Amino acid sequence: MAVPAFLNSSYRYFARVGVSDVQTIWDDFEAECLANSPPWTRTGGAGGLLTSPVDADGRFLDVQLSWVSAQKLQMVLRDQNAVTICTRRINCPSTNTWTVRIYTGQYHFYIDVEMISAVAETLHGGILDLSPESQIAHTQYVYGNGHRTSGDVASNNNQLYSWMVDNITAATTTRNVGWGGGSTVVSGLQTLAGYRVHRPREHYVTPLGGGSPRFAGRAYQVMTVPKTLTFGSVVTIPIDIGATGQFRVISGIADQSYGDRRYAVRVA
Amino acid sequence: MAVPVFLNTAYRYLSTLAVVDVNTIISDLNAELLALPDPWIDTGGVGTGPWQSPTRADGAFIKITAARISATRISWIVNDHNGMLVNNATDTRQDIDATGTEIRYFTGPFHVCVDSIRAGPETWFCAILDKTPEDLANPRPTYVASKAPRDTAGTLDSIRYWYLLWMLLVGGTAYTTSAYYAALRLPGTLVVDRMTVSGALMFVPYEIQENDWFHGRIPQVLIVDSGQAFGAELVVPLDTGVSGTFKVVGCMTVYDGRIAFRRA
Repeated sequence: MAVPAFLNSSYRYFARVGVSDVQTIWDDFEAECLANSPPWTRTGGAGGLLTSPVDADGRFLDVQLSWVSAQKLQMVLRDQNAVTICTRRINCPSTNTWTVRIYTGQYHFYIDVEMISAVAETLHGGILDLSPESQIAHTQYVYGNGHRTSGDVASNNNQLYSWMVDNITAATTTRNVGWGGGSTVVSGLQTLAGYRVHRPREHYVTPLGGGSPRFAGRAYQVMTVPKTLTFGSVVTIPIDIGATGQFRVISGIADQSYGDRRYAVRVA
Repeated sequence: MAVPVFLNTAYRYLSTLAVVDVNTIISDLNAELLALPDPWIDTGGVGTGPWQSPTRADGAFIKITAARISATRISWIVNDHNGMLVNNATDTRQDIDATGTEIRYFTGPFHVCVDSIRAGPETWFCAILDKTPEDLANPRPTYVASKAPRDTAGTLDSIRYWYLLWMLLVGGTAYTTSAYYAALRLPGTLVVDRMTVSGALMFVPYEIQENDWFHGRIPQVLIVDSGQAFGAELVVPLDTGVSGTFKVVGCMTVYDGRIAFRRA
């Protein structure tokens, strides 16, 4: 056996409580990206464009955060061709402070904000693992999403949706794989004996030239877990013989009836 | 790496052309089941069944009873190790053509598929699921049988989908049938090519679930893209340096998938 490729990339985890201005989130996120090994690069000084490490196959993404107000943080996510995958925002309450969890790695980032007095919101993005194919088997490997549009409207932010380049245009659709049967709520993520079943987070995308969606790959360091796990909880998952990883359930990607699941990102 | 357990059971494949009487199916199946490395038992002792599969470590075994209804129609009854009727509608029936039909047999210690290659194929199968990595006996084995192709009245099911199965649900007292017992591994759009963006075919274990419960995998079966023709043979990598050949059977396409049983 071996640790699957999608779980064999770098990762970091940082949390801060009592946050009241999204500038703190931005600063922490930047520090985490730059502290990664291999590190992300920053263009333009503090607050500049953050580019993920260029891997051996030339793959990378970049992300530009911006402060809209103390409560609003915006993300512009682009792929390796500088195509904007999505522009999304979070909007935090002014009535209380927030718990912020930042997950980063060479191929992924998740900014997860527990608002306490409102539903959690997330900005995230990543590169997909194309294993067992070559990592350059196709070029549609950058995904991402956030809770709100650039107009602050909450939309298409549940576990079904990601933004990716569909054919030739970045779009959001229900591209994330569920493991259930048909258009039903079932997940099949618990065995008859009561043990949890953990699955990768997988994506489908419309290939260049069009046609039906095809399998694009797995998100690095993300697992699909049963919805019975509470937002923010940590689950230990066997990832190889004698090896485990710890994954924390993302709070800000809303449940949706199809698939009855949640996502958890690696913390240890 | 290692070959996954659900693909590491014994298997046999036989094709018989121009079958004009289902008695040939009974005799062929008898020969195939008894020729397996861990052979089934012909409990009737005269080559016509009922056949009992090898007993698994957890005590599970399948019992199959076949009967000739007419020269062109056979009936199947499947019982679990408790004697419960798996295809819980008296029996399941399957036709061949009076002019002769190719019959394909896919057998193993815990699976049987009989594929009647009519113009509209009629496929029947049953199995005990592999529950790896869990203890087989915790809490009980799961059996499945196809709902297709025909009911007891001989009526051809208009939706002979591969995911329509008989199964005993959690807390159930009798086997029941429904769709949605297959883990589809699909996005919400549900309409996809079961291949990668670059065009490589994807092969997905046929995993069975019930609501949020995961039951296991059907041995020696894979879900393949619906673009694969009935009877197509697909070479699938199973482990480093190991591949298997799977043949697409005639269950109707649903959710852009078909299923293929191991033949080599």
